[in-house]
Amino acid sequence: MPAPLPRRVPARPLALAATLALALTGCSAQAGGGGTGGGSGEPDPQGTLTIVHGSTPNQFDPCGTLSGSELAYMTAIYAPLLRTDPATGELSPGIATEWQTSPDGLTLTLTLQEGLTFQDGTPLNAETAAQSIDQCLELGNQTVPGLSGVTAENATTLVFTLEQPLSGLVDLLGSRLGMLASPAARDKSGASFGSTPVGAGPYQLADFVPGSSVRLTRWDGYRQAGPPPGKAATINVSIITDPSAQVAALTGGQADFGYRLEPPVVTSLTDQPSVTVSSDIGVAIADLNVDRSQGPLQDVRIRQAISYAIDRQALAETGSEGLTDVGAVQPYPPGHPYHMDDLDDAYPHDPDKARELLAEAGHPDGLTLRGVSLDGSNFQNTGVIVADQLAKVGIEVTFDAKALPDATKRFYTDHQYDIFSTGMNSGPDWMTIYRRLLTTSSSGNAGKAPIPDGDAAVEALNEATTEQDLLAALRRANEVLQEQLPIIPLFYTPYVAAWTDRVTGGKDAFAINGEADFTALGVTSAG
Amino acid sequence: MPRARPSAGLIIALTVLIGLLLAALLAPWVAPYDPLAQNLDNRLAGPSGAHLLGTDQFGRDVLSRLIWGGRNAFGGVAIAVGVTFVVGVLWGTVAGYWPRYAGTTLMRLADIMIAFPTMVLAVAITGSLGAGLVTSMVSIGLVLSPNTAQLTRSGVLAVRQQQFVQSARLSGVRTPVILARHVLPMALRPVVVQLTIYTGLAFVIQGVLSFLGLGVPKPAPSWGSDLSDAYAQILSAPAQIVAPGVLLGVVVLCVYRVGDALRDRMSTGVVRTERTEDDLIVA
Repeated sequence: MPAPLPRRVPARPLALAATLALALTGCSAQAGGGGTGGGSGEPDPQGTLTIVHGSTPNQFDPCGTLSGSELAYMTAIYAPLLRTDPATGELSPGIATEWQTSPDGLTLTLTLQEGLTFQDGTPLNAETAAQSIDQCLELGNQTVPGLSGVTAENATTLVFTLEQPLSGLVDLLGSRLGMLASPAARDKSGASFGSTPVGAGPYQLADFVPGSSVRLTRWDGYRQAGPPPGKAATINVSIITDPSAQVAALTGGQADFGYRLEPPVVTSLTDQPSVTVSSDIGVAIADLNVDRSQGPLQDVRIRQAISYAIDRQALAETGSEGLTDVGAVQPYPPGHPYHMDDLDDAYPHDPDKARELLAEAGHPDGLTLRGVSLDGSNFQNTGVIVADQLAKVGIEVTFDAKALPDATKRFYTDHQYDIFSTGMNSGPDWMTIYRRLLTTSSSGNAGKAPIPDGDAAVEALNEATTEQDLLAALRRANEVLQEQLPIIPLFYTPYVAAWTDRVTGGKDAFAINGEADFTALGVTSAG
Repeated sequence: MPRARPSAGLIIALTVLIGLLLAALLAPWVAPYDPLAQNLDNRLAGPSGAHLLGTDQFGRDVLSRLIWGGRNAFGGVAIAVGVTFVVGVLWGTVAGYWPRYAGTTLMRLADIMIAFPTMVLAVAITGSLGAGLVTSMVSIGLVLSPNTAQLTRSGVLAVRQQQFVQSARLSGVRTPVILARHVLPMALRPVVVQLTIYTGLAFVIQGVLSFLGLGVPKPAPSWGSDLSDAYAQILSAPAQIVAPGVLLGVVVLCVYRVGDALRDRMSTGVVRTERTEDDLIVA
């Protein structure tokens, strides 16, 4: 079994510019019997890159509903207003070459490149950019708190006007909201835009067979607007979730690169010649969502009792197949700029304390909860271990496994369950995640039960204008999270990627959020 | 004619099945450990004196889980076969005794259901009813019931024309009594043999549904879901699949062996029924 990842991720110097960029690198465990870390030659521009993806994308509209498996494709198909470095989270120019926040924080002005077009040939300027963002917000899956409007001052100047300061706006524009889609194509395709996406990025979607495969072809009309031009002519992605089939594909020549692979593949691939394996903890965590609007979990003492009852280290080791033993009590992992070391001791494994809290809450003989988990084996296994650990303090719970739409409806809408074994990706857009965790109106807040100090903590985040203010506000947000436990974080889930010696840029394609950066990848000989 | 002595294969099959059934029934006294008790410090351990079949990914004793899992396996199969028997026999009896309109309609419905692959239909019905032991077993029973109905119908069709049945009808005996006392005892002989085959099939389908997460919910012990969990460890601990896989295979083989013996024993009755039908045609 591979050695667990280090408990602490070595931190890079904090690259906090105006954007407070993330800086989580150098934390990956890489191994490979004969692997050299990737091809040493130049990528073949006519090459075909074959990829194994261990989870299933549903659609490719950044404004649609995501399952969390689509971002790698979107970053290849769409040019972003601002580019977020996949490996570090650092913001850099994309379609916008410059951005400036007004002194009162109520206006953000972006200067766009001239002469860009979308993949359908329509112009990409400030006017179409504003239209694209308006269309996106109208769909309702993304919101910008306090946004008055987005206007085009001229062909290259895009202005965001706010009713109140929003320090995370630039991070939002470096995330999904900033991925601009062709307004004409969206009008034409309507609800099917997710399967016929048109952006301005280096690759176009050529074919999509849900649950099976995706084919991207390089767009020769791409003018650099953030991501580099595509290095391979074609990218063929096979959706393979079975770990033994993932290994077979990577060792049998059917695939050059694999990401979001199952943890057990590490053991098999580590000894393979010509294959490099990389596993890492990033900004995704396994967690328990709780319904605070009904039932026993309205009482914060019971939520805290659950948190004390869980042995996070043991859970992490088992849940990650031995790849990590790092438990989570805050969204960002050790070594991350937004991780607060002194908050790590918040919930040590303490069954006695858990029983004490249960007794205080009026349940000295324990209680029974209704649990649901996503039907992925990792979520179900987490539920099995958590149920066993909770039983030791008198909390009985069994987790029913449900598919994502069914589980979310039953938990968030129908309130059929008290606790939900699921996962959360915290980056690189910090604003979205804290809004989701702490605000009353959050879609992640079952029953919209207010979290004491939660809305205020997010407001303070929005209003932070300096690095010091922002870090103080993040600390307060983490403290509220730990006091109120609107979710119960469990452990940082590891990402696994692997590539053969034929691949160039494999190491650079390993993103902080577990996704792959397709634009970094190439192959050394034509496929 | 003196009856043939049971073969060694039949004796072994019966011994294995009875032994497993008894072990499942006596699980609280026979199983060495609590099947749900985890020991995360002793995961994926190989066979040892403490754990004869090793431990699984949560450090649970594999032998104990297989013993306890027998309860769900045998109980679930009993539900499936029971549903098949009740639904199929009722269906086939109505279709066979009133063959003109009801029979034609019911048999076309059976044809439609049989046209779908058994496993696909079982998964679809379980998916719509919701995963779980009872729902998955009921769905298996429903999926197999059209075949039982067809077999029952052909038996009822043959018997209903016989003179003793017609005599009973003319004598004013009520239809339910005729069916219960005169028709079904003869018509059901091939169905009983068929049910042993379905028993083996139900073990397999139950295992598949549990493997797919549509059967017994975790963490309850189940041969199918334990096999699925073991398969997930195939890269790091390939030996994990041996115990549940071999057990499931052996049980199915034993059930089929018993079914073969039952068919041989009852074949005389089947022949006699056919002969009577021939007599009827001549008459």
